[in-house]
Amino acid sequence: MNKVPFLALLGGDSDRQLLIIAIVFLVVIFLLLGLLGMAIRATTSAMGKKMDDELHDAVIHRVIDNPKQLLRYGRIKNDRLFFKTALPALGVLFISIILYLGYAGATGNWHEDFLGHFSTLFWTWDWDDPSCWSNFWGLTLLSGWPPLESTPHWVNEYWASYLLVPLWTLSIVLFALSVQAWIARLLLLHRRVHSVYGKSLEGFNFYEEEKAASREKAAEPKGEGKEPS
Amino acid sequence: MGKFLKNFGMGLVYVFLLPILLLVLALAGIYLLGNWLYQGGVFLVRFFRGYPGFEELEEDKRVREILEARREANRPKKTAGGIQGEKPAPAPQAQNVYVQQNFYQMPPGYMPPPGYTPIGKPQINPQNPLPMPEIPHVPFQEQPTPIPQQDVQTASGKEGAEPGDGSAEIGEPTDEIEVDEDE
Repeated sequence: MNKVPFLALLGGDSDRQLLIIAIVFLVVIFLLLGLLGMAIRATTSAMGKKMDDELHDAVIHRVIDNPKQLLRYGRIKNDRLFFKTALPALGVLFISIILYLGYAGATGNWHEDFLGHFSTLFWTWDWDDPSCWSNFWGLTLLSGWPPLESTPHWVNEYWASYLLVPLWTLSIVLFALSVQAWIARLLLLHRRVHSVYGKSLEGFNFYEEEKAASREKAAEPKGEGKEPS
Repeated sequence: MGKFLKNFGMGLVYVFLLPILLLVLALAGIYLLGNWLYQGGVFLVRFFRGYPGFEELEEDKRVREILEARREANRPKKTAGGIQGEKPAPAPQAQNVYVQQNFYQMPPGYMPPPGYTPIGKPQINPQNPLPMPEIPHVPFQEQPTPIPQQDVQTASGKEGAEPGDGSAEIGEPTDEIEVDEDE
């Protein structure tokens, strides 16, 4: 039986090029996702430490003496902390809503494409152009850079979009960070509930303890403890 | 290479985990938005009633009491002898003052040249040789010296001394001295 090389299965050079591009693309995507995940883990761990600050005094001074009380106390503290940390995000959102209502009420444009208007500040490409897509074994893959549609430019009429979209983005990012911090603190709280009041029998043996006690008893001198007559 | 492969593997894992994480984030966000609005309402109601925004938890109250009691116990107390726990002021230390005097053996009959001033000795102004503050003059007031009673008795009880015979050593007339005979 003749062995057929894998690359020989591909029809021509263009298919090989497409395969290589697809592999490189996937590797880069997975690498970026891996880094993103690691960053999320690191920030979650750092955000959770705030819970220790909140619980420290009450636990150290033994005011809280059972896991159920600690869980209740920690949850209330976590919610109150979230209220404070989310205040800037929701404050920005509130301001942006007031601006939107004022703008839309004054101009009558209640369904304006704010995101589309804001994109005039960036490069835009024509992703619908069929020349940049190829068919590879039944899959439609991006095979080339799409043609440039527009370059960054300022349009005076879109001032509301230039103002509102950054405010919305900022509030969403801040709120997402606050939510992430709340989740991180909740996870740490559950870990602490188990670790602070956890009882461990690791290394303990009932009979070993008994044997040690009997050995100590046997080692005591016989005359010890008797009062001199 | 190992780190690269690890990142690559984690990326594969997060491809599947990321949608779940985003879903959890979105659900938690919706819950927390409601929670925030509820807490905000409670906060405002309490605030406008004149109370603090959030009610102090029982645990926080007890922690505060413990910390205040500890702070009070550690605070130095004022007593009659000073502040308790405070170090007493150090006693004044004796200071040694060293005065160096140099003496030089000179031949007999040696006289210093006119205008000679020893080095280190201050110049003396002949008009005001001692520039010191003037001491106010207090006139002397003579005060009568009281005669001790014992001396009086000794003078009158002297053997052979008769009142008015002039043998008493004290110049006062003895008739004026009253001596209690009973004693």
